[in-house]
Amino acid sequence: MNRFLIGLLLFLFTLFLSHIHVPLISSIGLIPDYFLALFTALIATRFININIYIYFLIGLIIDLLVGELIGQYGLVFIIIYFTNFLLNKSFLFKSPIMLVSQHIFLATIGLLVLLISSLSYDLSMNLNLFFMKWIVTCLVCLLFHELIQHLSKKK
Amino acid sequence: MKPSKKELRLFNSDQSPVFGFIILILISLTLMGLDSRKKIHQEIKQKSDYLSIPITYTINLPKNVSESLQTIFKSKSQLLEENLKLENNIIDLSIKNQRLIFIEQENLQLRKSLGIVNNLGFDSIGAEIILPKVKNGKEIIMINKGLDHGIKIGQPVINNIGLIGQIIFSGKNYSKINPITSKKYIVPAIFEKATDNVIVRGNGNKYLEITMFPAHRKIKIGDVIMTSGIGSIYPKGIKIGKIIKITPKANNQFNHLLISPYSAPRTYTQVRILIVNKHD
Repeated sequence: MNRFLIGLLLFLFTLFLSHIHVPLISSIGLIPDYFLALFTALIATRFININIYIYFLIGLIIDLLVGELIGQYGLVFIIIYFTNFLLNKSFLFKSPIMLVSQHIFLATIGLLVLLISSLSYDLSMNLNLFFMKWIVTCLVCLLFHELIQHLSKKK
Repeated sequence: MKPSKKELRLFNSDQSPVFGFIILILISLTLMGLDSRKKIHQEIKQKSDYLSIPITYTINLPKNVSESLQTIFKSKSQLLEENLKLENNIIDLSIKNQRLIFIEQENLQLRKSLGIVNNLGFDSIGAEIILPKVKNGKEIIMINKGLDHGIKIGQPVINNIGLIGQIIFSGKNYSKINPITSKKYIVPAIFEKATDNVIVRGNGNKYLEITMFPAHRKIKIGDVIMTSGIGSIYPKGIKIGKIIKITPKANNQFNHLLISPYSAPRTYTQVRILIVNKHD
């Protein structure tokens, strides 16, 4: 199947996930940032060959669909893309531990940028909730990574 | 004219994202600044409303199908039982209503004789809470009425128990409510005994609070707080919640009051949006 089509399906699946309340999870802090997780995995694995401008446009679309501040996800994605670009210039990510570290590092950068930019409209922040969100987002990012790897091999 | 290979060029064709990165950073920061100050996001969202209609429809589909199936397969005895309960409710409510009509007339006459402006008048629109209840990790309350039904940003939302929140976004066929427990929520209020005017705000965690209340004023746990009508957004007399905790501040001159709202977001499905007649 075409990689763009798989990417689109993953996007729609994530859009659906971001609108549903997972049963048994009552705390809102335990809901991961699905879009950040997906795009961190997509950028890190370079599953789809698209440039920074397209990622920025996708970020703007996500801002329209689920975001609270226009340009926020656009900014997050370009920073993740650029960080990944710099990391790949210095390191070669081959072993599973390195790949996991790469994903966690990129997801952390993304979440920090989201947190900093959210302070313009959120009146306060809860560090415990942020920490929980970071853990679940990293886990979902690794799940997306596994899924993307599986799809790449299948192709 | 095409530049020769030896010629210096400002932009080369390499795939380095550095230039694009700097430009996009500037664009996104400008967009965020504009949105934060001018609220362009809401305008764009209202215009691109049709994008979220399929998502809302898909998410609500299982719930709607299950409700339809329940209605179809409900037995006759269940319906009769329900009907009996509703008839009893109607009788109870009509008795209460008779008393309220009498009190209202009495109140009107007293207001006339004292020359007090009537600020209690309001109409309302009924709506149902729909899914999603969460959007990208943030709790939201959505209702199935929007601009087409006369819903506007800023209108208060209540149910039979008390105040629920305020409309913060209105699309074509749906609206978003900011619940009273949200950190971005503030409402002018008064104690039921009409002793003190206060400002109540959500604490972002299921409760409301009054951060600085004079310690010498007499209040106790269980005191009821309702809207004061100041500001003309909320009509006077809508129940907000009751005090559940009084904590003295460090200087002992003020108390921090914790208020439990009457309407918890997960306990209702039907709401009413108030259209306040300011000149009534």
